[in-house]
Amino acid sequence: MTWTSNLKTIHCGYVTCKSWQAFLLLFLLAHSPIYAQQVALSQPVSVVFENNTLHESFEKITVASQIYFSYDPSILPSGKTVSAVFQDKPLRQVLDFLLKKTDLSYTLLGNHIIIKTRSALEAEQRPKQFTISGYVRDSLSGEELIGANIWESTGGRGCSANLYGFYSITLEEGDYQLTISYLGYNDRSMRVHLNRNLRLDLKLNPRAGELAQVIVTDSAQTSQDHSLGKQRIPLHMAGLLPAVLGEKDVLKMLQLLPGVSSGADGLSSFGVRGGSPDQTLILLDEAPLYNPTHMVGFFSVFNNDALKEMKFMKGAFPAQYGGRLSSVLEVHMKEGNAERPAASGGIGLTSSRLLFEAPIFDKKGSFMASGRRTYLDWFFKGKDGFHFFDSNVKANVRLGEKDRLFVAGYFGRDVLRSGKDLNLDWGNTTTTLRWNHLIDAKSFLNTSLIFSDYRFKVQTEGTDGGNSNSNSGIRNLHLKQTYQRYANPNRTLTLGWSTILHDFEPGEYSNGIEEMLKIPDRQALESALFGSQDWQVLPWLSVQTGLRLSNLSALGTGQPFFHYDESGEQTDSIFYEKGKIIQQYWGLEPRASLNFRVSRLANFQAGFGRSYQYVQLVGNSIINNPVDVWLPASPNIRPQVSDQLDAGFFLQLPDNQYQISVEAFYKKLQNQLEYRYPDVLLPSVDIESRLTTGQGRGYGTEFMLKKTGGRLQGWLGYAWARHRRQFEQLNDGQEFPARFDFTHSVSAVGAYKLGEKWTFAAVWTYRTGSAVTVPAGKYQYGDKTVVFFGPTNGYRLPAYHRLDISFSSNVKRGKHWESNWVLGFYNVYARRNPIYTQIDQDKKDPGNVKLHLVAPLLVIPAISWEFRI
Amino acid sequence: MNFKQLTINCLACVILFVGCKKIDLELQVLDKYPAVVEARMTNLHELEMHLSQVVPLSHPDSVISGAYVEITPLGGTSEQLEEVAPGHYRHGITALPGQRYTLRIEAGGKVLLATTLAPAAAITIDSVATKRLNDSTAVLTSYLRLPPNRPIYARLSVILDDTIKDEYFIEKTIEPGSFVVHETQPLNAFAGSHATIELTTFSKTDFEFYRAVGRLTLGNYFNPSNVRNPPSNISGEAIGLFSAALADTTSLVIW
Repeated sequence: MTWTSNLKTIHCGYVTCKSWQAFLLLFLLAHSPIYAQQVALSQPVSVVFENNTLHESFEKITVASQIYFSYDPSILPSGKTVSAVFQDKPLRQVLDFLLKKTDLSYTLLGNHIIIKTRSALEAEQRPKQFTISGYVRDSLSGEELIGANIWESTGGRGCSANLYGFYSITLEEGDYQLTISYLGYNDRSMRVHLNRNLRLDLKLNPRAGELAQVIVTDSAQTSQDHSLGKQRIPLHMAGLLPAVLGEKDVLKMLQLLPGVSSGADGLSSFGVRGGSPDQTLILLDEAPLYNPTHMVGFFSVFNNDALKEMKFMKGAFPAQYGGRLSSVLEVHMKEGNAERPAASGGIGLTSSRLLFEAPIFDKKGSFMASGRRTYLDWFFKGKDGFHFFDSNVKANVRLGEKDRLFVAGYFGRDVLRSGKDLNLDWGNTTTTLRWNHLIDAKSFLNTSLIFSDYRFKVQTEGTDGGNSNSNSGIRNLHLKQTYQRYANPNRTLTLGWSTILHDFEPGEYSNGIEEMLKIPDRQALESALFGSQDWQVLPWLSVQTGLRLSNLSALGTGQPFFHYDESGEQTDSIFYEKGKIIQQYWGLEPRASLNFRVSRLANFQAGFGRSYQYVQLVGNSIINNPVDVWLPASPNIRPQVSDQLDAGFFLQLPDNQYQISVEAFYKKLQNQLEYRYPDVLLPSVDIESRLTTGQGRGYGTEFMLKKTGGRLQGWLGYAWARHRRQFEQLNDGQEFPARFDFTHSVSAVGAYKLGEKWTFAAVWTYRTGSAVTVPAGKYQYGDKTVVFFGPTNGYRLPAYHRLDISFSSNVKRGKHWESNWVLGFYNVYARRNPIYTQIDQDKKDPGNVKLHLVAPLLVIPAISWEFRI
Repeated sequence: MNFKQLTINCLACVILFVGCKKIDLELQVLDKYPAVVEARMTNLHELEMHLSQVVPLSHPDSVISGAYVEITPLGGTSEQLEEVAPGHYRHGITALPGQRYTLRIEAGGKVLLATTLAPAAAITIDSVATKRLNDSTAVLTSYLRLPPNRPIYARLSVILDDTIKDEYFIEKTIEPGSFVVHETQPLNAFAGSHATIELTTFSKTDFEFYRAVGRLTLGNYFNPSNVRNPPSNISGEAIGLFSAALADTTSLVIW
């Protein structure tokens, strides 16, 4: 590049002869550039242009006014000529004329006019920007803190650590006061002088004292931190709240949030905003769990000790999440203590658990291993019994400053033995291999390879001595990559892709009455491309937009595939080679949300999201029946689609102790699945012919008041909702209440610190009774008396409510250990909540038939002891 | 007290607190109860129809007498059924493979209509073998011949000394092969017992109806969440089924 200065020698002489003037001029230029420009650019100029090029024109101005030009000749537009006459016109006017309709602009330096392209000039005039990036970690364990807030108080700009604890914020050169905050941790403030890119790994100290760990008053958080339909679940709270048989259960705590409903008394299965349990995507370290419960739903598969973070999204979730309609529950295991070896565990009435964690590779990594087992089977002699066990393992290692490798796994099994006659076992296995790579201070790349497997096996021994077996399951291999670019404090970009190979084994069944059934295997490839942007448009307005393009390809398995017509009659049987595409579905899923900041303490949000669900649980009950099978979309099953609109208002009171949120939603569902025939407990060979599709809709409001400081902490939640389904082939085509339709739901959750030694906690829940289909009559058919059912879900069971309480001893600290006791009572006032209906027929007087509600009395005391070393 | 004993005692406390109670449920009274149509014929059995009424659970059964009922084969002429006993109607017509029939019922000022299509081809019994397990128990093995390129929905009834002992529902998708082997559960059958195997091939709708009815009987009632009435092909305020099926039967003496 050659730079031209048309009067260099004169310039040099000027500096030499009048250096003090030059110094003064430079000083003035540096500190009063606008004033200096005004003086020179207003200087009158008389000049005549006659078909001159720009270069020639600049020379004429120099001659006429002793103003010199510097520029790169290559940026001047070739061929441009000008003709004009200026008589005592300001220099600015002449220059504006010359550079009109070009990409060039000018600036004044001394008596030099610098000509540059506009973009180059703008870049020079912008203040220099630098990036602060790194990880936020727990100071004691070294665990990354997902979602920690980093806040720059002067300009009110901030960011949150991503799923992997990484943050990045780009600011102008200068001095800043950074505040770092995270739920359950002490805030940390620090001054930073920013004059280069900074790698700053931050550590936060956990708050001391149990109740303080539960819910914290976070001075850096404002109402803007509330996200529509999104919640971070305070895992520590699970340790304080009453639990069935003393078994801490985060899924049961989730059910206490407005909009989340349990399937039945004491069960961990749940539906969100009227959706069925399979419409929630449950991810454990990114691996999907297809049955998140043990013991047909009484306990969740999550061992609370092994968990680090739990995020729940029921609104318009970001574009990187897909494949389910209702909600996303994202759970991350602990990574292990990277500072020192540690252990923790607990002993309860029904189970015990142990966790060990330690640094590895000279503290370049860490690992965690935990195990849990129930011992209900100890109380049965011989081979009888029912127990479950699960284990979580995770390890990570830093490969230099930019790379980190993780491996995580879960293995759990439920085992039921009844002599030699019946053996059942089922459970999940997951493995996640994850690579985090920092491309630069602003760019983060995550690559994950995930394996997930759910198996159900049953072995029975027939009366003739022969065995019958059934096996079913779903297996996934999932590869995905997510790129995040923290462009500036106002804009974060997320791009990625994902592909999942699903292998479905719906199963082989023999129930001793019907023929041996072999449901053909299924295979499907589910893929997606996604992109989203978080954009702080204005200080009071932020927008999150996203788009997901999803695809499902139903693949051949080397077995016949059966096609059915609308009435369920088989129309064809076609042999597809393994891997050959049978059917493809595409889905375009726009997602958007707006956040209007009304004040520092209040904001209004609104969102929209469309989601496609390509795999579904074909089940028939509200409990987590392990024999229910997962099936992909196919020529016979169209993908489910949901459109959801929601809006909410969030307010944090000035004392920082109370938060209020009100949300409203409307959702519309397409291609919902139900069995068209009654009675099915086991899937049949033509399972797809037995399904029918319909529509659904739901709307409601959710209210929540949280108290987040003081001796009493907790929340009060209320939801009002209606969820309806309509199927042409069910209920005479009339709309009926959905299975998870509960008009009113209330939950009151409180933990109160009783002096220094004890904490008292109570949970009261109430909800409208379940909508069920009940017998309304009988009729004679052949030699059989058959039950006649009333309208689908046309009867409401009595309202469900109960009160649970617990007392927790505050932590006793030895030199190297700490422990606490938890005493609890489930259903303290002995409410009998009906769970199903039963017909009783008098054997002596068959005409005497009565319908009963069966209501178990569950008053369950519990005690457990926990320790940490 | 060791830990195990402590745990047992605690669990015992739990069990003391746990117990199920039955709460009388006010029976749901509907504004109206539908009529029930049970009409069936096969290639071997003439058309029989039983017309009754759904009644509340605690009420006695109720039949509908005096109805006007007619059967019309597609392209044929209508013929009236005769009421041979209160609520029982009969006609000498039998089902032809692939033939469509319409049933029209006028009763109590209402008109009920039903249409059925007999299967075009049937699964048939090729042979039956017996295997004696001991002096009082035997197993019957049926060799069944499948029609080509059709899904099969059938019911295999085992009638022992004029009493229906077992019913098996058989679903077969379109698949290669022309034979199916079916083995019964062990039967209480002494030497010299007379056994009849009756194999009835249905349409898919009829098959699902019969299978559901078998599972929704009063004594067999269980309340999963997806209970509903069996699929009906009767239009109007009625439930039930008008079925035209193809049957095959064979009898043997068990030795």
